[in-house]
Amino acid sequence: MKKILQISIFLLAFVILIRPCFAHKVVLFGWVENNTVHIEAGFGNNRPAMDCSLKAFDQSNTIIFQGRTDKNGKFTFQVPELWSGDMRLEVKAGPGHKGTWTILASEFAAPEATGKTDEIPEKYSAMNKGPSGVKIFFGILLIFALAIGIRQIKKKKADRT
Amino acid sequence: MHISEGVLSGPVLGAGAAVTLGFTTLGLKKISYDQMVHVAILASAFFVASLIHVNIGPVSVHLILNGVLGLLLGVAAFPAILTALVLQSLFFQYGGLTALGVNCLIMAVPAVTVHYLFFPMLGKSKTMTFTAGMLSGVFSILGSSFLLGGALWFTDEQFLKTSMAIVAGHVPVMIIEGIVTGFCLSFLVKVYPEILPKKIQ
Repeated sequence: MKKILQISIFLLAFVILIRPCFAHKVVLFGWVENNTVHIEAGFGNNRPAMDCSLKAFDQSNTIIFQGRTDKNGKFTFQVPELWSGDMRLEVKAGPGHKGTWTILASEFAAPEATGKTDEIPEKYSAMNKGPSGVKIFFGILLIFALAIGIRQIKKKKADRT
Repeated sequence: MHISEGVLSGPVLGAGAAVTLGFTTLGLKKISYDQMVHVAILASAFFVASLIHVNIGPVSVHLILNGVLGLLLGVAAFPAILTALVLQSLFFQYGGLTALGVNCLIMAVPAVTVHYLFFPMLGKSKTMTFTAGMLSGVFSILGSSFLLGGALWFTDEQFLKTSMAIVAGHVPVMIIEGIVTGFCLSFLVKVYPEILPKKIQ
């Protein structure tokens, strides 16, 4: 039991060392402001996805715009004239890493689309947050609960034989 | 190392899920009653390892620790890695749920391979244990990088070019993972030798 406790402390040290980040989650966010589509791509915790391939698609999946993010993971382009539908954005941030975001048709028609707003980047900041400690501990708890469950099943089987 | 949702083709996802299911079933059968706590400890370490980032100059890398799991658990690493990946996907949105099978294969196959390669070195001496851990860390990442390239190649990308880019990008991870795995194993053998399979304790 003492040794299990030592291992648990070792594991806890791992958790304490954690600097929340999205190693694998590509966070992509797009919004419309001043008739311009603004795009930000990153890995969370203000870590930008630099020089990544970015594409914008219309509803029939045709590429309407493509380019690469800058050193801050940003990209902007003018809203095409008479645009009315949804716009799907896709960023490829390295092999096997992809992020998508859809700007709804209603967002192009909203008043913010032709004006300036600070609310939308705040939404991006919320998405940018790292995983909470509660989730990490709950995950570990679930793993142990599952292991105990399987252990009990195996014990019952062993008892029967 | 976690492939995102919507990257791989249906047949690749299906094949990955089927093979993972088979090995996970086999792994669950192989786990003994006494080994369950060890599996849970190692699965928890794997679950949190990818959240630990190390900055090397402009590059930021994270730990994976599939080498430790594979070396100590053998084929039982499959259920441990799969459980941790499911939770990472649900809680942190790492990788996609549909890509779970392939992601598990990518990380577990090299892990099980290092078990067969370096397991005999464990417990012989402190140096041998550290070396076994270090080599397991390096080779498990190297193998995972090639499998990741392979999975992407089966979908649509050029295998050699993609694999080389992935391997090159993971060289810092291999070095750090090797050192961390070596120290992890030395620590575990010292304070908790029961974690080693009975025949080499």
